[in-house]
Amino acid sequence: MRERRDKLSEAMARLKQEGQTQEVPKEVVDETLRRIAAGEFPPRIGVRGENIADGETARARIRNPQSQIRSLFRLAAAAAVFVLLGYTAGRLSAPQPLDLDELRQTLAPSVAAAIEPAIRKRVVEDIRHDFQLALAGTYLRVKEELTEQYRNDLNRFAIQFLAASNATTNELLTQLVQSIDTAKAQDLRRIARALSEIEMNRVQDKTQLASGLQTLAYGMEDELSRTKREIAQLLVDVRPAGFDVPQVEPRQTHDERNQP
Amino acid sequence: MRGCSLQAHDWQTIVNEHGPLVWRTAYRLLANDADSADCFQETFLAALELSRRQNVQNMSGLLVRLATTRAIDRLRQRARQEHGPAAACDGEPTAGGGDPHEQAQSRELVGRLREAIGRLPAQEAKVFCLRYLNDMSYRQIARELSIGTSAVGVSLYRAKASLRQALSAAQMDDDEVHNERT
Repeated sequence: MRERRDKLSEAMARLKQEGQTQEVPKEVVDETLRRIAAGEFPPRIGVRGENIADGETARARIRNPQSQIRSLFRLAAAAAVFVLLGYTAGRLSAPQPLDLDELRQTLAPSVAAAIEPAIRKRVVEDIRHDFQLALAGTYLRVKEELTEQYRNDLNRFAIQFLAASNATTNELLTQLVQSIDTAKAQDLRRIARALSEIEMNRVQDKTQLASGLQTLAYGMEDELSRTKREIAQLLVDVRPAGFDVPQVEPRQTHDERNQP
Repeated sequence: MRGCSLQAHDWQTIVNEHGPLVWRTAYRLLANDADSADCFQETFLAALELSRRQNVQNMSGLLVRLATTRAIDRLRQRARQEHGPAAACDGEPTAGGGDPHEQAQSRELVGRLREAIGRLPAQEAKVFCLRYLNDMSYRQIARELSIGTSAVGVSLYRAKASLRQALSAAQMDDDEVHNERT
């Protein structure tokens, strides 16, 4: 479209450029002025100056109405004569009516022989076509039925499989929960037993430790009493003259205190 | 300018003043000295006759319109007589010189456009030439041809569509011929 527009634009531009350098021949100007001076008008100038013989404005010529009516009558008369002549010629040249029965009897064998193979062929083609259509329809129907049945079987199998799978899963889950509970109870029992043993050991250790500490305290007390007596004896032995030795009352020993 | 008061010396002035414009208008469409000369003379004689019957307001526009009408009539005559534009044209060389092949193509293109203009309906051809070759406005064209401006637009649109179609058809024919030759 753009190319066509460009072509048109290019052609218009070139056409517009043409003739720009053309000079008016002097003889043309002189001849024109001579004809203007002589008053030679061009033939058949229309109202708006168009050349009536060439342009479509020839239809715009002003005609005498009487001559138009007369020419119209002439045209009508000529048409009537032509129609009459044509009708007469047609009537005269029309063929005689035919005997249709005789014509039918004459033409029937040849027509039958001519069209029989074609009809037979056409019938065979029609039957073949119908069979093909019927086979195609049956094939499609069987295919659809098999597809439907296969789909139903698959759905049923899927439902059954899902149900069985759910039951098995539930049973396994129950077993799992029971085993977890059992293991948890065993662990609790073991923990309780261990705690009880620990408590017993703790009480036993505490008793032993108290007994030991008591024994140690008694021993230390005896040792301190004995050390005190020995120091007093030492002081007696090394005392100066005239120094009175204080009497130290011996304390009871552990065994003495424990005696009844 | 009153036509009834125009004398012979006035017409000499008119011819000298507007002659180049009329000649260019005619030669541009006809590309033929003889036809252009006939068109030139008929244009001024028709203008003379018109000026005797009515007042002429715009002599330049009138002359351009008359020359365009005459030239288009001759183009239509050529189209009816099935004379090719190359046979009827003088074969003016394209301005600017240049490649001979390009000049030949240009001449051929312009000839096709002239031929297509000759095949257009008269009013469309006039409107097209006055608008695109003489640069007249829609209003001037409407006044010169005594039609409405909308009719001018419609005629221009139809003329351009027809010319595009004609040029493209000619181009396709040429391409087919070229392909057959190669």
